[in-house]
Order: sequence, then structure tokens, then C-alpha cells
Amino acid sequence: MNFSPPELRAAADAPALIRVRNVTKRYGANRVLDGVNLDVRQGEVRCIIGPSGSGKSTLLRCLNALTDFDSGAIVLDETRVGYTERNGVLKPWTGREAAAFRSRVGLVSQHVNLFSHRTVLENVIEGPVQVLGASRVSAVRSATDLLSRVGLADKHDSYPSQLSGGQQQRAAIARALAMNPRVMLFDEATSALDPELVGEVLGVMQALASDGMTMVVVTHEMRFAEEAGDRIAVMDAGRIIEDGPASEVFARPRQPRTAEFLKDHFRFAPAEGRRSHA
Amino acid sequence: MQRGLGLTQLTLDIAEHNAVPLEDRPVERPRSGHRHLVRNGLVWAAAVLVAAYAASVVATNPAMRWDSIGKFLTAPIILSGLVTTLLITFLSAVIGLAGGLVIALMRMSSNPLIKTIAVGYLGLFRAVPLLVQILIWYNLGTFFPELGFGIPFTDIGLYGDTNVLLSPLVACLIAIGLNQAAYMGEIIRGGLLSVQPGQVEAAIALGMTRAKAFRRVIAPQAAKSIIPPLGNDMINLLKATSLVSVVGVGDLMTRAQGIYASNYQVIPLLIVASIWYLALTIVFTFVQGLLERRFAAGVAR
Repeated sequence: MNFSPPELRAAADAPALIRVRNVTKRYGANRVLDGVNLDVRQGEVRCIIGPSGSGKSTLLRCLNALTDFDSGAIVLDETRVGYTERNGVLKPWTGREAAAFRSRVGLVSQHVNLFSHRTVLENVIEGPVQVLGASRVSAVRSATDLLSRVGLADKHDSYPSQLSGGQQQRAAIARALAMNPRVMLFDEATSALDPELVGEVLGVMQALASDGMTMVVVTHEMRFAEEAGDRIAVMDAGRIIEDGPASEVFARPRQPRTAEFLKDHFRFAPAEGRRSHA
Repeated sequence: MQRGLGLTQLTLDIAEHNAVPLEDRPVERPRSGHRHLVRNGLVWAAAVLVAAYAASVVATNPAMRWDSIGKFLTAPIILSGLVTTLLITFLSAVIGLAGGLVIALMRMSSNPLIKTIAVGYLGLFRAVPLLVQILIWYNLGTFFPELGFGIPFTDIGLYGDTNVLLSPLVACLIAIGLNQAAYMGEIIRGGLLSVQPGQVEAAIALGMTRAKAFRRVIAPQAAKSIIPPLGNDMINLLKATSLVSVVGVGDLMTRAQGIYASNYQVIPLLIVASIWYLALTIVFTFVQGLLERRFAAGVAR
């Protein structure tokens, strides 16, 4: 697989492709995000783990402007999320500007939302044709390519309801990739799937990662985070409580809260999955 | 003696029966095909008999005048009424669909004022009988002799004679169209609510604007659940146009009434009208079926 050219691969000292600075978001008195700081480098697989309700998904949705936040700043690919500079002043986005920004960021969410009234192929070409203005012929050509890469070459004309959950999620990944995104966001992409279907989706994600795609992955799949993730951020109660290379966070968590979370998570995991955290 | 033997036999039978495990005992299967056929046949024969009797009573009734039914069914005056009925149906459906979409979107608005206006509209136009609404619009001239646009509390503006602006046909179109908009609004809102929020979010996340997401994702998916109640509503609308006969717009019903008022063949002419309403309803139902198939894409089959 080769989803993006190798020259885009990470350079550790390059300025971060995504910079999240002191982002706060409240729902009433509840602080969903409480001063979050996060960097994502070009070509990096950045995993975010943490208990349910810790703000992981909200943070991810802030990254592609599906949700707004109260204070702080996010810069993604040298775009200040939510604002455009006009005459030296940052003005809030129009609907059109927000849409144009989102077309550069791929999102695969927990609940597979393939357009149910369109076939798999139609789903994948919908974005390029309708949003990017690509010709149908070229969109079909690249969609065919993408679908065979995610192992769905024989499912072009199937409707989503005729596919398994894992196939649907792989088609959703192809649909997001068809937009040629700078970044791919995964919001618990496997947590709604039957256990035996998780592997095929993680496999596609892993291949994407090894091709150098910049990915932010909110996940409960600790083994994926450990094996495919470059750096791991651990969230709890709207804050990032621990942030570091995957190997360190799993082997030597510094925060007691992280250790507790990991322990809960690995309680019923097979011994093999636990090998390095004993 | 006899009784004693029977009892022993029964006890033995029960003992034997209980010895067979539950899963191996025979079960009663649905009625065999043979008996089923006989019973079905009897039902059919009875139905045919009743229908034949009813038909013979109607057909041999001397007041039936089959010759006039045949004559008037395709009479030019009836056909012109038919065209008017179709015209009113079509135009009120257009007004109703457009108005209904606006009402549905207003009703779903997060702005409480806009929402309240839509709720008020629905309440008013669904509460007042359509017949009353038709009469109100038809007689509006007696209340507002002039209608037009202008600056309130001044004489500046464009005004016209209400009775000229609101011809009987226009009055009926407005009355039925606005009434339709209320019902259509609820049908459309139901369809929009049936679209899963995730589908919209997926479209937005892909970089579509709200307008494009509505056109490409929400509308086609809502259409699927809108069509059955819409077909129902269209058939109701077709028949409701017969109410305009009270103000003398020359629709099918008005024409039929006009003819029987002079020749006293009431039932035959009502049957002529019924035949046409039936025929149009069959066409509408057929079109509804076509549309349902057209928008069925993606439904698990």
C-alpha cells in the first residue's frame, strides 16, 4: 500500500502539522476540554487514549471544526481552525470556509455513516465530485484504486446495508482518503464493530500509518496504540494527563491515573497482549 | 367393568405418552393443502355470489341509465371539468410542497419565534375545515374590498379589487394550497426527522456545505419515507378538490352537479364522477409505486 509519498514522512524537528494550544470547551459548568495542549507532527500516528467521557472525541471533533471551542487555538496545516485572516484581522469562518477546511481533513467515526442511499463506489466518489469538483471519470479511477487497497474491489456496487460492519468501516476509510486529506482523524473507528471484524479495520489503518499518513487516532485498542502509535496522549477529565512515546507510556506510566486506566483495560486481555506492561 | 378397563387403558396411554421425550412428540402441522383449498374455495364462492347479487341489483335498476353513464363519461363538459380538477390538484400540490418545505424547516428551526410561527400556522390551517377555508377566501372581497402591497397606515402602494384578484379559481388554489402546506409540512418534517443525524455529519465532515448536504444526502433519504404518506395526501387532495364545487369553479364535481341539476339523473352522474376519481386514484397509486421503487436504493432487501 502507498497512500502518500514517502517524502511526507515525519521529520522529528519539523514544526508540528497540528498545534493545539490551551483549548477549553464547556457545556454549562462541565469542562469537556480543560486547557488541552497537543502537537501532531507530519507523518506521525498520534493516539489518544483515556476513559469514556474524558474529552477525546470532543478534541478530535474540534480538530476538523465539527465542534467549536470556547478559548485557546488550533492550527492545522498552517490554518487557524475557525478563522481566516482578512486585512490582518482573524475573522470567523463562513459556512463555505468551514466546509473547505473540512474537505482537507478525513474523519472516520465510530458509527459508520456511509451514505445509505448510495453504493460503495458512489460513496467514495461523492466527495471528490461534489466537493472538490473532480470529474466523474477520474474520481471513479482513483476510487477503484482506493477500494482495492482496502480490500473491497468486488464491492463497488453493493449498498452499505449489504456489507459487514468491518467492510463498511473500510469503505468509510476509502471515502475519507478519496479527498486526499492532509490528516486522517479516527474516532474510535473500531469500537462499534464485532470483535472478529476489528482486525481487518486496524490492518488498513496500520498500512495507512506505515505509508506516512498523519493520523490522530482516538482508540480503546491498546495494542494498536502500542504497536502503530508513535506518541500517546492520555486524557482524563478534559485534560491531557500524560503524553509521550508509546513505548514509555505503556511500560512506565508516570501518572497513577494512567496506570489505573491501563490496568483496568488490560484486566481481561490475554497474557500476550500484556507482555510489556507487567 | 367397561369403565375400569377404559381407565386402565387411559393410564397406560398417558404413561406411554410421557415416556416419549418432549422433543420427539408429534406436533400438529398447519392445515393440509387439501382442506385449505376447500375452505378458500367456499370463501371465494360466497364473495362472488354477494358481488354478483350487488351488481345485478345496481345494473338492473331502471334508474341506473347505463346509456347516460356511457354518454356523459366522455362528454366534453365532463372532460373539461376533469382537466380543471387535475389543474387544481397539480397547482395546489406545488403550492403545498413548496409551502410545506418552508413550514417543515421553520418548525425544525432552533429560533423559537420562527418555530412558533410554524406551529401557529399548522394549528390554524389544520383546525379550520377546508370547506370553510375555501368559502373564506372566496368571500374575502366582502371583508377586504382591496388587496395589494403598500406601506402600512398610509395610502402608498399598489392595490387591486379583491374580487378581480381573487377569482373563484385563484381563491380555491390559495385555500387548498395553504391547507396542503400545513399537512405537507408535517409529512416533510417526518421525512427529515427519519434521516439519521450521522448521515448529515458524515456529509459535513466530508466538506459539504449545509445546502449541499441537504440536496445530496438529506433530501434523497427523506424522500424514501416521505413518498408513502405523500401518495396518501395526493389522493386526499384529488378528492378534496371536489369541495370547490361550492363556489362554482368548473371542476369535475361541479360539472356533474350542473348536469344532474337539469336532467335529474343524480346517481348516474355521481357514478360518472366516481369512475373518473377512481381512475385518477389508480394512476396516482401507480406513480407512487414507481417513486417508491426509485427511492428504495440502499434499503436492505
